[in-house]
Amino acid sequence: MNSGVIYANLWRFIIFFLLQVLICIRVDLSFGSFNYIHLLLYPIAIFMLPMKTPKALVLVMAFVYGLSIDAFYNTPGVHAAAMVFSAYIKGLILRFLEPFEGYNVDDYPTIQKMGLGWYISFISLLLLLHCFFYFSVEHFSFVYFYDIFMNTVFSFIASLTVILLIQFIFRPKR
Amino acid sequence: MKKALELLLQFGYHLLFLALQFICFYIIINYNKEQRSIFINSTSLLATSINSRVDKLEKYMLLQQENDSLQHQNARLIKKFIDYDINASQGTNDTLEIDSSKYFIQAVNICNSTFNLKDNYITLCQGSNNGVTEDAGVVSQNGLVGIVRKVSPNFSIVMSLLHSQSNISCTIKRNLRKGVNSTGVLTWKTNDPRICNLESIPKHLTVLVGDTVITSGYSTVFPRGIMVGKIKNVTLEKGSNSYSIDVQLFNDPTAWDVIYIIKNKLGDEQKALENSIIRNE
Repeated sequence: MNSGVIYANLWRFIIFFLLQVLICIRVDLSFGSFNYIHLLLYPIAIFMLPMKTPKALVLVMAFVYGLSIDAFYNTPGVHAAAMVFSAYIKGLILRFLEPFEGYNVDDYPTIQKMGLGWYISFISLLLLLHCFFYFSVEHFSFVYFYDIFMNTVFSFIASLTVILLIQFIFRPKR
Repeated sequence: MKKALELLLQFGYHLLFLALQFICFYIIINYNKEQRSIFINSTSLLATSINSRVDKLEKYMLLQQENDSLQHQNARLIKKFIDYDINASQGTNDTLEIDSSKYFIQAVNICNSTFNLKDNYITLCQGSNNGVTEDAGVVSQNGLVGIVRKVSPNFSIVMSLLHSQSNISCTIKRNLRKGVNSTGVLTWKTNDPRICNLESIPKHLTVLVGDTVITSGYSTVFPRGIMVGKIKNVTLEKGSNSYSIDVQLFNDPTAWDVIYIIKNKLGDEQKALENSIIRNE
């Protein structure tokens, strides 16, 4: 059971990593000068770690994972910073969305276990914050607030759609 | 110890987050060109704003010192004015006093000056653009300098005391105090730039060596009471009706530094009135 969870998450890391650095990085969703859609699917591997994973471990994994994404994006530290931030926020949001009776030992943040409503609110909150932080760090100054805002909104919508589609198609249990 | 460990476990997570974020931003700033330049710009902006604030604070701290020096300066000036007023009021027993609002005083700089010719002139770096007008009196801290003769937009020429045509109405302070306004004319006949001549002081007055010579105020150029010099030598030539007096100047025409021009606001009016009576007769 436990090793199954680990394998499932390991595969998720590998698959989303490859998906991001091999496919999403090349997808050009710009329409003329409207260049605000960037697919950010990789954070899902961190978001869907089991609730009981040690928080410190989540942070370190997020850092390493982000840095390896950065290696392909050629932006050292940008994804890592956003990923570490999201991993940190994940703990707060999990507490915020905690059901009245608390999480069960075998609860995982999936549609199957927690229900569609919970999953969408969990993923969308995290993804929105992740996008916002990522584009803020990428532009590095709130002088570019318009760009940051547009990028955040459209990338968030596109990424969330793709993530939900993947969830509906593959229906992971853990 | 146990408590410390518990605390570390409780907050270690947050510390770890901060540490990782710090590392991330360190990497971002060091290895990304764009972010690096923004970071450098922002920090330099911040630094300059902090610096300017510190500067302001420093200036504020130094205000006390500044105040002290200004107060000293003011004190000196006030003292000078008091002396000036005393000179004026002691010099006249009637109610005629120098109306300070009648005169306008302005500091000017010297561009060029001579003192060793027969007719000496001083060039000022200020002209009509700076408010210098013709026939304005020029004084230094210690005494007379001359009279403005010609004005161009940016320069003006002062006829020095040391000029063969220079005629300035002067009087002797000691006599004035007694109510005798013994007006004479200050000219320059010697070739010594520190000594002038006072003429037309009638011989029935007593004139002593060491008496102070001041301006008489009988002209529209200088107010009464400006210090000129000390009497150095008095002679009465045979057959002459007036003394010939050598006056040692208080100021040194060879070393004028900061000088001031004095403008008589009512000078034109006075002159016009005087001229009209001359024409009528």
